[in-house]
Amino acid sequence: MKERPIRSATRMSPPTPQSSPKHRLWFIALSILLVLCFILDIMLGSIHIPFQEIIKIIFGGASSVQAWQLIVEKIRIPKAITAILAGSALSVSGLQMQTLFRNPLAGPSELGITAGAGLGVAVVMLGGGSSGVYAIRELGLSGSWLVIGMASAGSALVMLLILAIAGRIRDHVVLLIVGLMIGAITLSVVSIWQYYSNPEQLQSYILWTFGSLGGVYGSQLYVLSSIVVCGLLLAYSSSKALNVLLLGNNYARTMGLTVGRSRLIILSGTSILTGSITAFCGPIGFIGIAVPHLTRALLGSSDHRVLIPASCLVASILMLVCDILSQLPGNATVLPINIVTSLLGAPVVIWVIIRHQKIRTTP
Amino acid sequence: MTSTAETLRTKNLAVGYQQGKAKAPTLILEGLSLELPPGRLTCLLGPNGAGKSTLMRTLAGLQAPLSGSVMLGDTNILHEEPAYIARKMSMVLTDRIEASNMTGMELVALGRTPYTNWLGILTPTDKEMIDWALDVSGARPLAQRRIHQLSDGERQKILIARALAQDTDVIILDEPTAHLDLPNRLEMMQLLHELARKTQKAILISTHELDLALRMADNLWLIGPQNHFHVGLPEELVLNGAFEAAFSRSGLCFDNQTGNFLIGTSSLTHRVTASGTLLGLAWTERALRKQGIELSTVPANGQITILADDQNNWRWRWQEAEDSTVFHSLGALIDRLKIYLARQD
Repeated sequence: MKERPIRSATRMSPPTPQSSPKHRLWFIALSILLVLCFILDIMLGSIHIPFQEIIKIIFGGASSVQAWQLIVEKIRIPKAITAILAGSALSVSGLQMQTLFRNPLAGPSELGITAGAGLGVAVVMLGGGSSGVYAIRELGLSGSWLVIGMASAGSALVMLLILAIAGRIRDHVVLLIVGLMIGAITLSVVSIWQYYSNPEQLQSYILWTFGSLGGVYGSQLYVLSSIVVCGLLLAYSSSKALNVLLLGNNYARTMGLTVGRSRLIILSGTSILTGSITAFCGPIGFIGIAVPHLTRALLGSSDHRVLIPASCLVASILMLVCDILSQLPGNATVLPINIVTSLLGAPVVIWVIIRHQKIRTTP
Repeated sequence: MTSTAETLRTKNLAVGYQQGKAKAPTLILEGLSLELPPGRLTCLLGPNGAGKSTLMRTLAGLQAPLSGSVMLGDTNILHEEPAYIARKMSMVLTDRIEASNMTGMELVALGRTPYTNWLGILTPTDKEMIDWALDVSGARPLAQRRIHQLSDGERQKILIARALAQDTDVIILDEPTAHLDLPNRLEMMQLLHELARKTQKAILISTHELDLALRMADNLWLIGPQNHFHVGLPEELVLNGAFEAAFSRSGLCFDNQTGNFLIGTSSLTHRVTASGTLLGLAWTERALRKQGIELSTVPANGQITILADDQNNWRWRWQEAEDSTVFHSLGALIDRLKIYLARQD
């Protein structure tokens, strides 16, 4: 006789994978922390603005000093929002890449994806030729789309290349080195290009390479946020596929996943996220590789339906903290954001390598 | 849940692999018309490199056959989407799983992938299936543990639970007993044998374990020399000599009586007589065989008598002409025998 499950209401099931109370608690805690960091980031800056005034401006009130209102509305809030967008986008693309390549050392900047986006940006900024200098800060709406498109295409190009190579190389560390090499090649191409560019174009490109969260205003911010939200939704809708891909391509296939199609969706999501952020903020390192690991360790989950939103929260908090640190409170100098994220992110990568002692062996 | 089980059949199947685009494909097995009976444990046996994995991957639709078809009921799975096949056939592969943080329960829940919506939300039916799979496979105690902390045997069990949760008529397992120690191997085979009975699923496993396959399999697919394919009950394949032909090597001999491999039979050069209990004889024989000495019951010059008390204290009395010595260990007996045999030569 066939033995089949019997419908029984009395059966006490242990918690099923979805919606554990522990995760909910983490989400609440992280959200509160995010709000605090957001306010703190807006408060701090070279010009001191009292806390009450900040709160008043955030909630739509008018401040007594008009300069304060302008600073908060036109500079600090867009910058904080950009930090949140950048953190979410980079961490989610890192998370997707780590699952797709089944490689804990995968990340947008580590595998040369950011460099690919940089190539796309260079095409726009240096290739503009005599028709005019395309400084990214001065781009209009169509220019924003153009630079995002080119950067995403550059990312996708490198992603495809890495994906093809990953099929042949089974050693995680070797793939990482190959990624760095591809990044180096891409950057050299850009350097050669720079050599033949005029000084104005060069200056704006060099400034871009330092990376900055400031300078995304008005229509650009709308473009960037809508693109990032689309990318994040695409990633979230791939979470079932990502969960299955955790078991490897063969298992995924036997569990009904059309692996090629899913890979393509994940790849485009990653390229859009990395490309758009890199186009506007410059290369930002280590957030993409480090945050997924921090999030996994924090929540103790492997479920992408939990990890994707949680990574967004953790990365947003981290980016806001980095931004706060980059302004060196009480000092007028601002460090490039890339330096701060590297200082915080690189130790996390070292921790990952130490923790995964068998990191070289492929699953 | 399907009420009518669909049987997996192959029609004139040829399997192999394409190595590079320019080269002709490498043919491994051909002309296979097989049927996987439901409610039975079928073992695919064959020496290394005989194409066991290739055949299994082809059956599961992971790899295209060179010719022929794999039918599930009336549908050729070659023309079906992975999502369709996944509801009919589940697999346990040898691929290592390195998802850190994943619990046993989460892994088993992934087995419901072919049935869940775009976000993979589990319905009450899914949860019942998961519960049932955990219970019937005995993997319930592993549900809340992280899979990277499980032993090889435990991981195999939770993977079987995952395959059961997928609720398919056919389950294919590639080398489920590899990396397991003997008790775990026995338990695993026992479990698969029972599962086939209980669930009426068709279970196919590939294995190197001749001994276990002979004992536990309901049905054998045996890949012999020159890739001859034999199908039948294990016992039939022993009787018709297919087994012996498939696995005999120089210095190794398949004993049709016991279904075991005997070592060094071709080099048995000496013969001595022995008497004693069956158990004592069996193990003494094994020890002496390794030294190239065969036991016989025909009285001869030298004679071993095996003695035992109820405390399991074994002694061996060696009688040679008028001379008689009692040994308390087999090792000492063998040393004495060697001197005797050297003198005989």
